[in-house]
Amino acid sequence: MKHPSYLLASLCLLSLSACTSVTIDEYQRAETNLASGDRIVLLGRRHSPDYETEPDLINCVGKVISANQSGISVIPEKQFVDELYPWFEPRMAPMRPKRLAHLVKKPQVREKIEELKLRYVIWIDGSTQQTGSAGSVGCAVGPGGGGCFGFGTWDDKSDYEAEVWDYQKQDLVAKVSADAKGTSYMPALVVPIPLLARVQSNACKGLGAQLREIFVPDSSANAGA
Amino acid sequence: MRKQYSRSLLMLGSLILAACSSQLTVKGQFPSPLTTAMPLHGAAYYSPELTSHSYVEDDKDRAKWNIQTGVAQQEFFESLLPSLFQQWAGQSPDPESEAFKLPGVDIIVKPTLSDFQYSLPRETRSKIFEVWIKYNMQLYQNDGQLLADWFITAYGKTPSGFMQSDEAAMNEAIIVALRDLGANLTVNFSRVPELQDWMGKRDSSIHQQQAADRGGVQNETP
Repeated sequence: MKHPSYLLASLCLLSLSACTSVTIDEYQRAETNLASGDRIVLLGRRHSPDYETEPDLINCVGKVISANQSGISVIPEKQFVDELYPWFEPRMAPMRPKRLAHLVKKPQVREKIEELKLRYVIWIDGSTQQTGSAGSVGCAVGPGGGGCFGFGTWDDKSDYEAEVWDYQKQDLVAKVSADAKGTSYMPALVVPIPLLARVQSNACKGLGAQLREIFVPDSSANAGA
Repeated sequence: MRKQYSRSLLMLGSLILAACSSQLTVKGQFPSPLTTAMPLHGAAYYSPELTSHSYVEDDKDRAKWNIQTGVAQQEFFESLLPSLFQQWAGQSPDPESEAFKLPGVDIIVKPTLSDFQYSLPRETRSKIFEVWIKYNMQLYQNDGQLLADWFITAYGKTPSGFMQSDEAAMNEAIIVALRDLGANLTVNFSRVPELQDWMGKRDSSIHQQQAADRGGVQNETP
């Protein structure tokens, strides 16, 4: 008779682990036009002293954009930054499309970008931070064995903004922002069970899907079909 | 029996101490910069202090770190410096050694690490490993005469990642700092005032020599 209550408790905990909310905002100034063979690159902003846009978030958004046979070819961030070293290092990277126009006046930079068939640059700025925590989990080991007891909880918040720049027109095309919040739980009854809110992962999926929509309209509908 | 007991205690103590200290040999790959090379023939001198540099944290209030940076620094300069010069002669002997001469080479670059600092996430209550590096850059002429002497700083940071060790994060922060140094040098190397003056004087003396040679040829013509 005890089993249904354990099952109910587990279900409740699992439903709590899925507690993440994502808000996506988009502002598009111009239509995009990706010709056959054109490529895009996603770059993380790393100039702030307080935070750093995570490289795994950039990889994740790139995978979402190029998933489901979207036809969008994404240049890996590391390859792009290495091949154009040092012009996209944090201290040198253009902060505005006009600075990109200035940068491509250097013949070596322009030749390399054209060799890579780059059409759009997407800058992603932001990070995922832990905003609060409560509770505690204590563990102890004795001659008869060990175990943990307690309950911990913490909140995570993702805040990202992506800017899409057209390399050919050297202008801003669109901006997309993704805010995600979630609470993770760690109940411990002998063994700690982490129930993690996938805040960064959900922000990545939302941001990636919206960016893909900018290049391939109705791609989400097609992917879902 | 007591001897064995104390030996075991000593071993346990050493193990605990080893577990509390971090050993790191910095490893990384450095791309060559995409830049216009200066019309000079260059070479570099890497001192033993640079190529075998290691930082050992001796502050008792901080975590123990032993960071070997020498090999990575040499690899970094070997990938950066040849791209800044139209011709590259590789490694040079110490330009401060007696009777130093390196005919055919214009400039010898000698980088010296003058300061290395870092901060850990638990010290700054952020999720970021940070590294600051300061170099003393010296340029010598091919007869060993000092031409320019200036300091240059670099900064690198990396977020602490889930399932990433402190050593891997520190390694990444140092690589980012070296890349930052490369960016700074790529842009500012040709703007060093003493180097610009020297190149200006050298170019004007070459032009005067060429003009004199042409004048001599014209005078000889009947």
